[in-house]
Amino acid sequence: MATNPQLLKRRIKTAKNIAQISKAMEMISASKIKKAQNKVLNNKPYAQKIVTLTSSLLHNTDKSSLSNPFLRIPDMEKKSLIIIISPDKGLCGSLNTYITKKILELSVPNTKIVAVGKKAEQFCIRMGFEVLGVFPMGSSIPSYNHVYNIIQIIQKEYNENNISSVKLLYARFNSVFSQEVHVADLLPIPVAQIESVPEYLYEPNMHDIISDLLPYYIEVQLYHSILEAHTSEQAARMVAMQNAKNNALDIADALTLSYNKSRQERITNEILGLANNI
Amino acid sequence: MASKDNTFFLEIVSPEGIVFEGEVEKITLETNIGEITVLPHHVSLFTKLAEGEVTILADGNKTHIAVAGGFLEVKENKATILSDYAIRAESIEIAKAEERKRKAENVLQEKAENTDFILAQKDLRKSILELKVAQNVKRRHTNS
Repeated sequence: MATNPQLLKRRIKTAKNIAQISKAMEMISASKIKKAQNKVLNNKPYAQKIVTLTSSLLHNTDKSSLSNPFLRIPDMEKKSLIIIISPDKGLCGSLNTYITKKILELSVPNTKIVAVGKKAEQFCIRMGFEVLGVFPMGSSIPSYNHVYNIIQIIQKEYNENNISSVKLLYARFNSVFSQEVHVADLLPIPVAQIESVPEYLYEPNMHDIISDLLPYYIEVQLYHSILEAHTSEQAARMVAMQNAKNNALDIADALTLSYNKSRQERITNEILGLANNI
Repeated sequence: MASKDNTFFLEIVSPEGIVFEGEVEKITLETNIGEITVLPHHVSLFTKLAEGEVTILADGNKTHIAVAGGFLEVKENKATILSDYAIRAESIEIAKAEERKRKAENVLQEKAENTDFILAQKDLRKSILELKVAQNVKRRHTNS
């Protein structure tokens, strides 16, 4: 170990500073995560209801009779659109690494990309993917604004028959300690197999209702994924910062120990020197 | 207490959480083609709601809820209302709604960007709706 006491002292100070900063960041994330988690929990029943409603409706109806563009049987030759939701910033453990790994897994040249969050944006541009739009993720609870803009892009591409499917790539929030990168199908709408549901009476008529419901469905799915991604980011950052803080404190402890040792050694040597001189 | 036979289960869900959940005797709501009332054992129905008031009768008490559009599904004696925004009439704060209305109007007048414009329009409609429902409830209170 280095024995220069001046140097050791400086290193102890650095380690303690890092511990302080990461502790502050941990606390910021901890407060954000609470808000975000509440938002996700409150939004969940709504999102689930919309999904079950839509799939039970679609299950019951003959899709070919509807002219809604969202229900068109896609041309599999076409590219698929992936909406990637990532954090704006790093310092959140291995979250970004997992996301980029997943992108590489999916991204055959056959994809177009909409990136939400700076990390995804930078990565996709560097890799030379076809990026149709980029949106910031922000550091507080994401607002609904981006959802509209993203939907406009999706609608345009889908209506012009440029893409065959739309997928969402985001970090699903399981718990504070576990987030997984998940790929969900947004379009074409997956129809769950459910046992026979009673025939509905539609007012005013089925066609209008379905064309009203589908934009809702996409909006809600998209917003819910963004919320979950935001929560995951905060959770990942909190855990990462907690680890960083602990590591920094460990280093500070070890350095203090060797500083004290070298100081003691120096004093002993000095005393020995004095004793010899007498 | 009403017996199980003449009630049905109602759930009002919005992105902010579950606004209402429980056994009710009757609900009255506004759809795009007029006002309808749902009683127990209604036939399976799927319809689009207009912005307006949902009146719930449960245990002889009336509850009013403002909804900003949405969907109603009735199935197997269970009704579900899905709405962008739903608030109980009691929790509407008139002052706040008025403030929001003013703000939205300002944004609209400034001819904001596309998305801001849509959001402001939504806010405006929401606040007007809240004010309307709150006033209705107040009037009924003073009448009775």
